[in-house]
Amino acid sequence: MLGAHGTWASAGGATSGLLIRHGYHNLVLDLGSGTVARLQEHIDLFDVHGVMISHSHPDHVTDLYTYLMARLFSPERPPMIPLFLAPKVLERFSPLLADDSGDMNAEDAFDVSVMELRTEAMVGPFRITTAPMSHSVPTVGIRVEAEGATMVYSADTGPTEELDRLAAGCDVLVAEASWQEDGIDRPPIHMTARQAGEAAGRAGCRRVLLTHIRPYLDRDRSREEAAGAFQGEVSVATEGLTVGVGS
Amino acid sequence: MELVVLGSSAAWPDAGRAAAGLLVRAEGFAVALDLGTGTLSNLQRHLPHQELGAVVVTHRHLDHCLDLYPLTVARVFHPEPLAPLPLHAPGGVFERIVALEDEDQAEEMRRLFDVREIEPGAGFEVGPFEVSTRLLPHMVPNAGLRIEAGGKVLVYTGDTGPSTEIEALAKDADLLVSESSWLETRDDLGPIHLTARQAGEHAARARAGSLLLTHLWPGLDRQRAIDDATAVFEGVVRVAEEGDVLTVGD
Repeated sequence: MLGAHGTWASAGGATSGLLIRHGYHNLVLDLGSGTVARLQEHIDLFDVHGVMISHSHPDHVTDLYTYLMARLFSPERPPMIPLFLAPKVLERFSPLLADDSGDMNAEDAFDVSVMELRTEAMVGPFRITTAPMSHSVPTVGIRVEAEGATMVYSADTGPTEELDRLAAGCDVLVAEASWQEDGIDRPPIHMTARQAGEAAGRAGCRRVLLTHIRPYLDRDRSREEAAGAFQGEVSVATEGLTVGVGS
Repeated sequence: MELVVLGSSAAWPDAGRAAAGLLVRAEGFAVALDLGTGTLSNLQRHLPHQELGAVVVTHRHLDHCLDLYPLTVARVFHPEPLAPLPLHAPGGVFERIVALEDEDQAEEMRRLFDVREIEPGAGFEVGPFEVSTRLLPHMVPNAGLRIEAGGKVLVYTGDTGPSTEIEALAKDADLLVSESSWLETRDDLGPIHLTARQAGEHAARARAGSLLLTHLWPGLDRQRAIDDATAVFEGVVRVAEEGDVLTVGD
């Protein structure tokens, strides 16, 4: 977990970002604020074989700028790697790139592709499948499989059968739990911790890792809420947490 | 006057570091100077984000202002309404961040800040701080900052190439916080940054009390930066580390 905070990070934290490792291969899902510094605590900055951005909200995207700058301005120019973007990420991101120096172009550092919401892709050993989530902008949930082990990342979403299907039988579901049960009726664009646990239960996951928790919420309460709705293992993600996926 | 280093990396942060950012405190008032990626998280190790009294940004490059975005979001979701936060910045800084949002949300972001455009060369007040500025040479307009409170003087260059304007800005300052992006000059890129040695030379000509090197390129040999600056400047030379707290004038 490179960044486990939702929306903005409190002291010492970073917003959304995951590093998925298998053998010598590394895949990055989302690059929120503070994640590029964290990435380098685990691997070399350029030892990344692909990046996928789940949706256009800046708490999942702003360090893509930082990473682009690193890939463009390092003395050793790293090789091109695939960058998979959800719809609207490039549009949202373009004001950051617009500069009078004129030297910031994502396509100079990445093989950029804009994904359909249902996409299948291979990056090294990783078989990636995406599905549309329930959020305020087009968002993909991401399923990553390698050698029989499976993790699923919900990105930002309200409860949806799409997530239940995408996460079916996975070893680890990294589920957003932006909210807690508080009796307030909100649009289905995020989940409470209880809803995240319910989704993991419906999908038959072995373990759920709660992330994207709003910084002002009590994380122990989030864990308890999810555990009340899910029989498997429940953990709360923190920056730097490393979780084994599969046996 | 107290200085906290929030971020010391140029362009992109090294492992565990953050891009450019400083927190300056005096008389119970806190002002952030630049907010690059990772700095808002570090700032909250020292004070709740809502207790920040103002933000000053030297120029519009994102390694100096990208965390204005999460600061904005944190203020949007704060349980009690917050008064607009003074943001002093050259033209274009805030609009570049606001452009990340659609027009409705952009309007809300604008309401959360009291944006005051810096005309480099002009002065302004922030809480107990008297701030004067000078235009320093960079790729885009960069306001070097001279900050005075309680008889102490802190100068922060932002990003700059070599210039007599740095010496004028930093004349007799207690502490010069200077960018030190490189160890070797890069003639191919033009005079847009300083080497550590050049930072030391400017500190010496300005007769600054001490020198803090920051905005160091990722992977740069920080001990050599200290050695290079020390060779040409007699005062104390330090290199900025995230979390460092310095008393200005000590």
